[in-house]
Amino acid sequence: MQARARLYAKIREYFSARKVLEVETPIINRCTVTDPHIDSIGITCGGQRQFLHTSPEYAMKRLLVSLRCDAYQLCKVFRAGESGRFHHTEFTMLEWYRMGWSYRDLMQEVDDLVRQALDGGPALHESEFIRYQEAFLQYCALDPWSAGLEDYRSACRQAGIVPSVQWSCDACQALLLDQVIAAHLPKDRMTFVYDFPAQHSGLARINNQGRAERFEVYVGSLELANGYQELTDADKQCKRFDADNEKRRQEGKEVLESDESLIRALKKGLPECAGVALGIDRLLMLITDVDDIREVLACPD
Amino acid sequence: MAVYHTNEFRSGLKLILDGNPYTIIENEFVKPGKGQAFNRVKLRNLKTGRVIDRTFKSGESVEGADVVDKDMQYLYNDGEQWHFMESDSYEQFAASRAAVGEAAQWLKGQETCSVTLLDGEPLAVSAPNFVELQITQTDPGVRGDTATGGVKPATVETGAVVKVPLFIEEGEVLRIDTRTAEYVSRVKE
Repeated sequence: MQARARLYAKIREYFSARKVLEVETPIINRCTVTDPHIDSIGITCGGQRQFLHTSPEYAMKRLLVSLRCDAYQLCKVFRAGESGRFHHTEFTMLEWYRMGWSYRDLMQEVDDLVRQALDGGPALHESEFIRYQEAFLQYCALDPWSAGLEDYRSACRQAGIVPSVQWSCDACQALLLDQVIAAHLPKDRMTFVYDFPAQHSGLARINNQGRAERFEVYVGSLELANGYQELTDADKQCKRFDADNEKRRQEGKEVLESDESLIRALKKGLPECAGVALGIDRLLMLITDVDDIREVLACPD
Repeated sequence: MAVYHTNEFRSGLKLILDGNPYTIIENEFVKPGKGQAFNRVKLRNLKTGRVIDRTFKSGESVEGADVVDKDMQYLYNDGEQWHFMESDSYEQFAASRAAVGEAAQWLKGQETCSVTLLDGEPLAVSAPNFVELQITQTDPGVRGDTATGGVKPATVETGAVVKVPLFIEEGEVLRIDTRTAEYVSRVKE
C-alpha cells in the first residue's frame, strides 16, 4: 500500500512537471466498449442499463475534443470474468494522451515514466523495440503477414499447445504473442512490440502499409501497457464498432450499442494524438517483485 | 451431465476429455489486453495418473465427470475383482485389477480405502496411508553389513516386498507407508 501511494505521487509529479492535466471521467456510462474480447459489467441505474467502464478511453477522447490539451487519468476500471495471477476484475489503469505526438514518441515517454516509477527498485537495461512481424519471425518462425491458419496451428503445437479446431488465426496470434513470444522476452528490460496486424488494431490508426500503429509494452512476459496512434476519423470509428459487433454476433456475444457520443465528438474533431493505457497493479508487481496481482491489492477477490 | 464453462474451472474440478476422466490441478487465466482469452490448464488423468497440459479458449465448455471419492471397507478378493463396502450405506462395489492397481499389494481385509467412483463404478482405489502387516519371509540380518545400506528386503503377508532395517525378523508386524512403500516402524503386539 505504501508502494502504491508512493507510485501515485510519482506519477502525479511526473505529469505535473510536463503540464499534462489530470482529469476524471464517469465510471458509469450508458455505452461501453464493443471490443469482442472485453466483457463489461452491466448495472441497472435509475431503471436503465448502464456499464462500468473497462477503460476511460471513450470518455477521455470526448473530453479531449473540448479540452484540446494533454491529459491523464488514474482510475479503477472493471472487466468481467478476468481473474488470475495477472488479472483482476477491478484494477487500476493509468491512461494518458499526448496531443500532436506520434505513437513512437509516446513509446519513449512510457519508457521514461516506467523507469522513474521503478527508481529505487529493479533497474532495467536499455529497452528493446521490435515490430510485431519481427517478433513472430524470431520466436515462432512464421511471418504474420503471409502465414495461414495451418502455420499458426503448427506454431502452437511446436510450443506444446494443442490447438482446438475452433481456433481462428486471430486467436492463435493472441495466444502465441502472450504465451510464446512474451515468455521469451527478457525480464531485465522493457520490450516494445509495435505495428500490429490490422485485425488487432483496437482503436489505433491503420497506416498505408495496412499496419495498426499500436504498441504493447512487456517486461519479461508481463504485459504492462498498450498504446495507439489514435483513430480520429469518425467514419472509420463507426466501421470499427460495426465490425466488433459483427464478431460479437458470430461468437454469440451480446451486440452492444455503438457509442454515438464518441462518434459525434470525433466528427467535431479530435486532434491527432497518441494515447496509452498502463496497468498500475502490474507495475506495482514489478516494483515490489511479486508474481500475483492479489499481493498488491488491498482486498482482492 | 453437468457441463463446465472455462470461467468455472478451478483446481479439483473433474472433467471428461477424449473419453477419459481428469481432475484439474492448475488453471491459469491467460489474456492479452486486446485479444482472445484462454485458460491454460494442467490436468491429471484419473485412470493413469498422467499429467497433461491443455489450453482452452475462454468461453469453451467441457463435460464434467461424475466422480466422487468415498471411504469404503475392503472385504475380499474373488480372484478377479476386489470387493468393497461403503461404510454408511453398506452398498457393495466390485473393483477391477486396473482400478485397484498398486493398492492391491497392501490389502488383506478390513482396511478403509478411498475409492474413486466414476458414474458409480470404481475407477481408482487408494490404500490407507499406513498399513500394519506381518513379515512372512526375510533373511536374518548380518551385523555390520553396510554394503546394502543397512537394509534388506522383507516379504509381508500380502506378498508385497519392503526394505527393512537389518534387525527386523520374520513374524514381526511392521507399520508401512503405502505412498512410498517404506518401512516406518515395528508394531509391538
